[in-house]
Amino acid sequence: MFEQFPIRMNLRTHARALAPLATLFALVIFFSIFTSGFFDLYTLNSVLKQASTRALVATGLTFVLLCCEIDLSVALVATLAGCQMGVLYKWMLDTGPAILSVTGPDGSITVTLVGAVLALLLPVLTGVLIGVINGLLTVWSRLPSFIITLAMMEIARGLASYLTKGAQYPDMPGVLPASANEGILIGADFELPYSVFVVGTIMLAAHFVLIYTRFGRYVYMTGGNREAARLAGVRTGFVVVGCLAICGMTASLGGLMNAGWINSAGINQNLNLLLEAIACVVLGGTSLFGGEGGIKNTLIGVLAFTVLDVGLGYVTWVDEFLRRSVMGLVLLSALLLNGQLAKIRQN
Amino acid sequence: MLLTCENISKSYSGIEALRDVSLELRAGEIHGLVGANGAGKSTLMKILSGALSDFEGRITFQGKPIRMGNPHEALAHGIAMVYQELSGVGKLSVAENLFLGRQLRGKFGLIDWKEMNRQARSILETVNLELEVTRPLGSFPLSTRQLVEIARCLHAGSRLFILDEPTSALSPPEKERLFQLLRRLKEEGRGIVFVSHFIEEILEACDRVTILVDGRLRSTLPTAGLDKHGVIHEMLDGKDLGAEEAMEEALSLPPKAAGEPLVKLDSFSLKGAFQDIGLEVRPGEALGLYGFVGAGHQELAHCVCGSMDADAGEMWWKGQAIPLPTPSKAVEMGMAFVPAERATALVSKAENYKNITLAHLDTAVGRWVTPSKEIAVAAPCLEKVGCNPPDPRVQTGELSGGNQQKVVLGKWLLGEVQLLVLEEPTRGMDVGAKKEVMELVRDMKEKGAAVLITSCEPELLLAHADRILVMRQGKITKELFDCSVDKAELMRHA
Repeated sequence: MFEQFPIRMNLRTHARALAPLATLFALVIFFSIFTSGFFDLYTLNSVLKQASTRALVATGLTFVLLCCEIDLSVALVATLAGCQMGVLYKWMLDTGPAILSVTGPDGSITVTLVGAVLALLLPVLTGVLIGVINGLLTVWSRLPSFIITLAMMEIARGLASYLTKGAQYPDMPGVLPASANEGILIGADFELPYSVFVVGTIMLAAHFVLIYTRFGRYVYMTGGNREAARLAGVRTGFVVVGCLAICGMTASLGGLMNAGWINSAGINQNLNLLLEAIACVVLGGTSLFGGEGGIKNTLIGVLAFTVLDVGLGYVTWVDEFLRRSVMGLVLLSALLLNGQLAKIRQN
Repeated sequence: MLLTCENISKSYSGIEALRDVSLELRAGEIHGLVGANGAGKSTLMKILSGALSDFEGRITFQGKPIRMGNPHEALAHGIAMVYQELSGVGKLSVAENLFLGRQLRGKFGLIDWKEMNRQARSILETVNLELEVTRPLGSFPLSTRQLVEIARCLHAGSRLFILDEPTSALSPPEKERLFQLLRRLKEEGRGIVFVSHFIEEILEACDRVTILVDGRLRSTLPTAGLDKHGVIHEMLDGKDLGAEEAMEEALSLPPKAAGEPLVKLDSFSLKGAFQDIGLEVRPGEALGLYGFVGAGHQELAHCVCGSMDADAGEMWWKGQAIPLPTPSKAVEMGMAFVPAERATALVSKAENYKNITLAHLDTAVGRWVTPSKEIAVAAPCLEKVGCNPPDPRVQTGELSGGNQQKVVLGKWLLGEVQLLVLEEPTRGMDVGAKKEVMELVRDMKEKGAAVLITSCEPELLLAHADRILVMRQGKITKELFDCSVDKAELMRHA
């Protein structure tokens, strides 16, 4: 019925949308040509595994960046979630009441299903709560979320230290290491990690929320022009709180996933996660200034970043100690390219 | 000739904005530039001020052909542009603004504040302005900032001044002051391009006027012996005049509407803006709030619909006392607010349909938001408000000002509007767009909406308000209804 308004398809308007995808392909091709052993199903498996924590954290961060805020507490919220889970699980094993842990006939103690669910659920709820507090403080104080979440980052760090007292907690519900490290064997040599399904479900849900719900639209419009959204009756404060709460949730899920991946929970985890997650979102083309981008972008950004990360491991002609700098350089070029393409589109 | 432009053409991705426009400006001339929105005024201004370097044609300035790559080069040649939204840095002092980018250096290359402030004072003296030059520029009213900006360009040695809508925010005495300064510049042999929608002011201030129609030069006429109708006739290329354009004679306002007020305010106060305001608006009535810039009527409009928080005030809605609404509550109640700044009314990066459905996503689109559903409701709406192009997928920021305003109004048409609050609804629009926008407002009023229009333009209120409240310095000075009133009368009370 609206054929008179064709969707404008041309390279110029889509240059920005395509740039992240081009970056991803360029990286894959680059590493395939210039390293040996990169183009392999085993690599695909490690990319997918390594991407899972970042993807979870970046998903929530996408909401926050879309509504023109930032959450610097994600990495430590993730760590706190892991620690909380580890400590909780240990407590259940040691002194938990009967509903949480049972002693088997051979004297071994196992945590019940209720206990396991609790050990996974409580950290996530904590993450949501931290996000809500981040949001309420940001909205109420009218300070930049940059400052609020920076302070929250330290609070989370302190809590995690206090809980763990510096110790490592290797016990956790079996589902975590299994989903992060194991997978379904497809054919003879490709294992599709279970984490792909977990992360995929959450990203799909996030995409759906952003594109097909009113809340999602409000996120974009609040980020695009907060005053215009407010005057149109959008409760922009609620939107900001919602985004930061979602971010807290995915950050803690990411923390659990990471603890599962390395089979241990402790304070010295997720050290680079904050900057990696932000890099993933921005590399995907989501604007730091709100209103543009989405989960599709973030997915591409996470894959591109992880391909870069994993790919550099195959590079033998760069000093091992310089790899981090090379990574920064590649990221920088990709971001500059994105920025230039965005400019072309505007003119 | 101070400035000669020959056959200037410019097109944006295939769409012609200017075609073969030639313009001559004598030294010591104030030259008006008028045209409807989209006639090419701003493009021509941008070319003259160096903001657009990619065009066809030739520019000769003071006898030499010149080509500017950017505004700095233009300024170096002696061409200064004074924008409607002034470009000074509000947080820096007046003196710092006057010396922006070329601060005076003293010993050890440090800034010589004393000397800079002293010179700043003497620069301002040349434009008859006496200010505390150490105060931040932002603490002065717009009219003063404008004079400071002109003084700055003057001091930088500019020979040609391009003024974009210089009078749109000025009260009559401020305007007179500006005109005096312009006459002085003219006597000194400088040239001025005066771009404005206010035709009377063009006629008052300028020696000649150039009229652009659809990107082409229509005519350049001496203003002596020219009247407003003549100019409008040229501008509209012979099209019909709107009733509001023939606003010279007195107009009679109808008697006060009867019935229960839709909304009633009592003892509304906002520090620094207005004190102890009471008013009521009835369904089907348009109440105008008139005042000069800073009279407080603009802020009052913001407070009524929750955009700003009043310090104190009581409000009745359909006879019931209610707490002062938040914007979301106001929208729920059926209040529609159209602020003067379109930058705060639209998400310019978003497509039209997203802007149209924003306020009524729940009722008009439903639980699941899909582009096809949204376009199905947005397209007829854009059609109805006469947006051009009525394409729901176009980014709203790409539309002209008048069309953006139609999108703002269209947004509210998706729900039932009980109270429509408009702040300067036609600022910066051409005659045609003004008329179309105000027709939409009239439609909404005839459907039973109560309308509150605040404006600094008497013509707008005389043409569209049933009753007018005049405000001065935060207080209501006069209520006008059931009487004959003209522009002069309105301005007398303000």
